[in-house]
Amino acid sequence: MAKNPNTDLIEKLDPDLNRELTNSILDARNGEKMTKLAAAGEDYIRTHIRESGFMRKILPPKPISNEELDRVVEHDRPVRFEELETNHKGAVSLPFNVTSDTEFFYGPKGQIDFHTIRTPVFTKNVNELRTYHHDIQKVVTEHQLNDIETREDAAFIDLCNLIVGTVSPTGGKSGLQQHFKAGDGTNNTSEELSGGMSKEVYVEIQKKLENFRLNNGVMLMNTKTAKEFSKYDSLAIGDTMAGKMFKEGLKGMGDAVVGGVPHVYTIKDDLVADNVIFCFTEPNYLGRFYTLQDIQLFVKREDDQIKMYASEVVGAGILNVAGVVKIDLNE
Amino acid sequence: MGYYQRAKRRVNVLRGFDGCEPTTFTRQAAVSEEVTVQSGQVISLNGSGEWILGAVDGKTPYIALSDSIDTDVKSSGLLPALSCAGRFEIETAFYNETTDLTGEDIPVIADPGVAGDVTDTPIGSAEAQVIGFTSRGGLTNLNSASGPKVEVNAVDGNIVTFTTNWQPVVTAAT
Repeated sequence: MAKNPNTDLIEKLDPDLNRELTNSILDARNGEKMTKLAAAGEDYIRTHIRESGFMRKILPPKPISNEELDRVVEHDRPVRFEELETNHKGAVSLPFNVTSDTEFFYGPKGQIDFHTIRTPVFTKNVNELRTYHHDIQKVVTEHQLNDIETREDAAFIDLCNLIVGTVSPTGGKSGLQQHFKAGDGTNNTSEELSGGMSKEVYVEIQKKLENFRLNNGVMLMNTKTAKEFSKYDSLAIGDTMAGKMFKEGLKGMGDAVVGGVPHVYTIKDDLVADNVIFCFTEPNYLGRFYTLQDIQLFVKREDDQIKMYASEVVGAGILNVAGVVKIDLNE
Repeated sequence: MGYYQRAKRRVNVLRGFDGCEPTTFTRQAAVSEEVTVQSGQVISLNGSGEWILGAVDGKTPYIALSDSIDTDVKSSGLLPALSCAGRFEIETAFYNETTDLTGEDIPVIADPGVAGDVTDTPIGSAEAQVIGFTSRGGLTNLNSASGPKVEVNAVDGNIVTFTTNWQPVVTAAT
């Protein structure tokens, strides 16, 4: 007789179940098994693909302990102060018998605030669970994890859009242009970005962060935009790569690295629109992402009711506002 | 998002400052409860010996070294300042933005319109209590060059550089 995974889960509820489930889910995520869940081959019909979060690939999370937190006198919420590299006037050439100027120096500081991200409290009668052949509770659990990371991504992209500002020579939070649009007459780079994601345009895109004397760390685009790479012909990428990409698509590129820069492709085109590319500098030049409490799953059974939700407590910030630029290739 | 930035850069003293030496012409006093002082503003002493913003005729003008909300100032109850009767070359971000202070040797006065700012005045102007003269081009933007910003602690890098040289108004006896 076929086992019912839901019945199994109900029967083995015990005090350690929360921790066990959380660990199994987090282990699955670490192994990237949850990315593109359509490939999982479960005994039910998937309606669309889901993916894990991209923010964690751009700004890897770090656990933070109570000892590493800072306190403020205004309230009892935890915060973390981050110190940034200072800058100053450079050295000068001098004749003999004179000395250089006095220069007071200060290091900028930023504050990371923490907040909770939590899923809805999913509730189900255990007897109703018995009617499912597939492990619907596991599916909901997986969705909860993805939903939390999607919420992280949405907040991250909102922040990036706020920082890059408008398409203008002074539109970014850095005071300089951080949002570029192809064919837009208001910026002096319109010509170099016109004509779609050609190889020439792509090289220009990769120069943008270098204007701030920053390296490219990760480039983010949606999977539809990334498919433009498939249009590169043999003259651009060579016969071998062109052949592989014709046959295998983006998988033919192997690890997603172009021009020495890792790329992250997302299916979340509601967050990263078609033909839009975000360029991020390396994490240590960009900001911080702290997990005060990493994602945990809480499951509770009372009588014949099961309740479960996932939750995390995180704090993140792009402290170097020059560390992100946005390219919009839509003309 | 981002890091804390002041609206205006703190004062910088290019020449004449040595915080550890009594030869540096500094003075510290309490700040009047009626004002908030920021580093780089023109201040002077009122009749109670407390700092107020702007210059007062016949009284030595000073340039605030600290903010009145700085913790050491609040804790000690005293705000240090540089005397414009001393000789310092100062970079201040508090200036009248409607005047052109670009150039050398422009007489600088305390702005009568915005207390704490500096502004220019024509040489020989009656009643002008000159506190110094612009140097190193006067109005400049430290962040105007390409590459990383020099001033990262404030929103912009606009400053006026001037050398203190207080010229009190002397009215002939009648």
